[in-house]
Amino acid sequence: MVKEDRLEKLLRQLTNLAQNKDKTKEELLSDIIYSMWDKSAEEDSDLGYLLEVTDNKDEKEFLNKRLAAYKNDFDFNISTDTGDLRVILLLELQIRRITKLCADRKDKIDTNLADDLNKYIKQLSEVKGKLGISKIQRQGSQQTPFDQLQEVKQLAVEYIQKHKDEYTWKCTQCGTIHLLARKHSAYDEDGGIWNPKLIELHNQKKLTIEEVAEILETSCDAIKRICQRKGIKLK
Amino acid sequence: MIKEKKELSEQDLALFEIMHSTKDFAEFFIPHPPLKAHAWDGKNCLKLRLYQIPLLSFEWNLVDDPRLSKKENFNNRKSLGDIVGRGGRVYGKSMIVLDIDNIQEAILHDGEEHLLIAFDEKHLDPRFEYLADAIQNHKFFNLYTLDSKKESINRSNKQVLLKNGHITYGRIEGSKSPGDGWLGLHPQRKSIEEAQMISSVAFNKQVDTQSELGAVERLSGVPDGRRDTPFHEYINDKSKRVIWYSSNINPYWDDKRKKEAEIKYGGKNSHAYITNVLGEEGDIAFGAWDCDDIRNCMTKGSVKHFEVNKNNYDRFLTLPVSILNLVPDESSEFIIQASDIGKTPSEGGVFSLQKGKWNLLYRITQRGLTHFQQAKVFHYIAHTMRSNIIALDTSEGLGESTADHMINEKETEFLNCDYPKRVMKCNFKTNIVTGYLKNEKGEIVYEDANPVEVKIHTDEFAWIRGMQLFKEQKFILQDDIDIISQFAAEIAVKGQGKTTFSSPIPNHLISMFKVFLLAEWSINKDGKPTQFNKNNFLGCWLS
Repeated sequence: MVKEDRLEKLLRQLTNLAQNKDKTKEELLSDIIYSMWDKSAEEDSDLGYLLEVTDNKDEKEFLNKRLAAYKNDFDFNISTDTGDLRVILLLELQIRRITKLCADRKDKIDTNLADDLNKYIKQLSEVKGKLGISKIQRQGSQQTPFDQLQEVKQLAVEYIQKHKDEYTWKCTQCGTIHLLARKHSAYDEDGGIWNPKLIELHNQKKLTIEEVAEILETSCDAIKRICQRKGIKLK
Repeated sequence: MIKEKKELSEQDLALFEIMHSTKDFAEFFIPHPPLKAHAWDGKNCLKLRLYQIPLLSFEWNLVDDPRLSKKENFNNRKSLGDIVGRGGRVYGKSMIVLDIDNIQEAILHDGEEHLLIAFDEKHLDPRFEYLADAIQNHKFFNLYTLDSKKESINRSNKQVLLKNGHITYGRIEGSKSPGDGWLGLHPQRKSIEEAQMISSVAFNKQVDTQSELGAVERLSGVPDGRRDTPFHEYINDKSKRVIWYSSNINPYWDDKRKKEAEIKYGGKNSHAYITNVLGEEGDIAFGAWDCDDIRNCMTKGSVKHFEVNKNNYDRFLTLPVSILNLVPDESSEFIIQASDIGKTPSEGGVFSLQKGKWNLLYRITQRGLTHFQQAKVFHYIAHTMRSNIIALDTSEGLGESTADHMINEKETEFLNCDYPKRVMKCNFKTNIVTGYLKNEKGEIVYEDANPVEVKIHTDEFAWIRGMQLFKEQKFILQDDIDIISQFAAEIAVKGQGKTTFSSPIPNHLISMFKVFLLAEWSINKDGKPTQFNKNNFLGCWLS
């Protein structure tokens, strides 16, 4: 609510402005209240207003519990996610209402109600999926650290088997493994990646410049620039 | 006593092997961009390109040699970890030199400190967030978090603390006392993002910010032509491992992208293209502004900043409590309202003269508005603030049409506003006449009965004027990081009879300041805007 003293102060300020000279006090007041209300709705960082979809005490309590659970389990971005959270709460409330109706009727289940229930559950799972909070998506985080580590280790074994001896450099003289040297013939001194043999193959018309670039994982422009700098003519 | 027999399994060995091989680490643990850490499944992962491999750190393959001293072992580690990733933009510098390395460092160096440095938050946030996201959401890395993830990752203090005792500090240079943020830390590793932007004062403070054994240094940056910066010394130091690539090393670089870059940087021979695309140092450049002078003009607080865009424009007009909550400055002697106008945001400011100093009262950004809408916003500001001069950048068509709209005498909306006398057009693409040539006796030199005009490029003139006012402390600016970062990033290059300016980051604020500086210069000693009525003096900006 707008406090009275603040309201009066605002009124005084606004009455002096040239653009408001033709407006009555009532018009100005209604404008102020509208603008204050609009701002307060936007700047509201508390999610409490999401509960104002029902007046029923029982349902309000249910929504309150669900909202508390969501706030506890997830970090919601106030500016972008509250709309989706509101939809989730509404759908959950609808599902609850239908389930309650079905329960009241005992044996007789209305097919229309069942269809509605199905529709709402489907919508709910879609919205939850969009926010990344569905049960399947959460399963990863529900694993115990031990399970997580075991899974990573298993993946590591698969990776190593797939890449066996791929990154081992051995000295041609002594046969011992050595680390990647600082200077390597594949890397040009002034920047760029370089392989004279591939350029030779290109000049013999066995490789196109695009293929050379693809092998070296770079662009044609970069190959041309290095050749130009080194004074090599590309055929 | 029976002890459990512990042996390393094949699985353990496979995991350790990957963790200690940088290339494997990247290709096994890092999801293929743009996938984020939570999407890691060990299969759809990053594939390093050949040219990216030398940018990695190879210290992880080493174990300490027991025959060597602690210092010698550290030096070995440093020689494999140190790197200066220099070059053009968008080839993966920051990702390889910093992002992947930051994660590997955090989980493999138990109990150590790591300092991650950037000029401002805009540059620090992406690097810090990459690390924080990996530690928080990656299936393997999140095993290293403390029991409460919130304790592990402190986004407000920019710190990541792990179970193994490793701590990463994210620190920015800061606007008031540069480099004070990293004083008192003793990291074993320092990583610097956009190292060319770090000022000498701040850089010198980080030289002693290291552990007693020293620190592994990993720098990423684009040369900007300045020869008096620490980054220039690093990239020309033959003892450092400097890797230099141009933007065209990226396999996605093609003719279309080349043309786009040429347009963006003003031609392939421009200083901006040579530095930002080719990664060369280009002509000798220097920092256009003296940031110490600007800092001396700063006071505590923050300048009020409003934004008018397509979404809130209607509210701006219809409500009495406008989103532009401007309060007229009663103590002001003179008000200048200046604005840079462009397709990208138009950055405006309201300057008030108080006791001989210009106080920046408000910053107003306009996004996606038509020239007609922009004119209305300027009119509103001018009316509320009682602006004496409304100076607009008319170098581009949008600015020209906005100004024309305001000074159009047939425009009923702006009747009785006297805008033809108050709206000043500033064109930065032409020369400005600043006076007449004088001989040794101080007499004006005539040629064909006309006085010889002294001309200077408008952009350069505004810059000289600005340097002078900042030096004389004629401004009162709130401590605004946007202002400092934009002024610090602008580079000036002298050549072909004029000074040209370029910046790696958007510099709309500087453009706005330059518009203001021209308007300020036009006021005569009595504080009245008379100069710009003399066509022969400021012909360039009068249509």
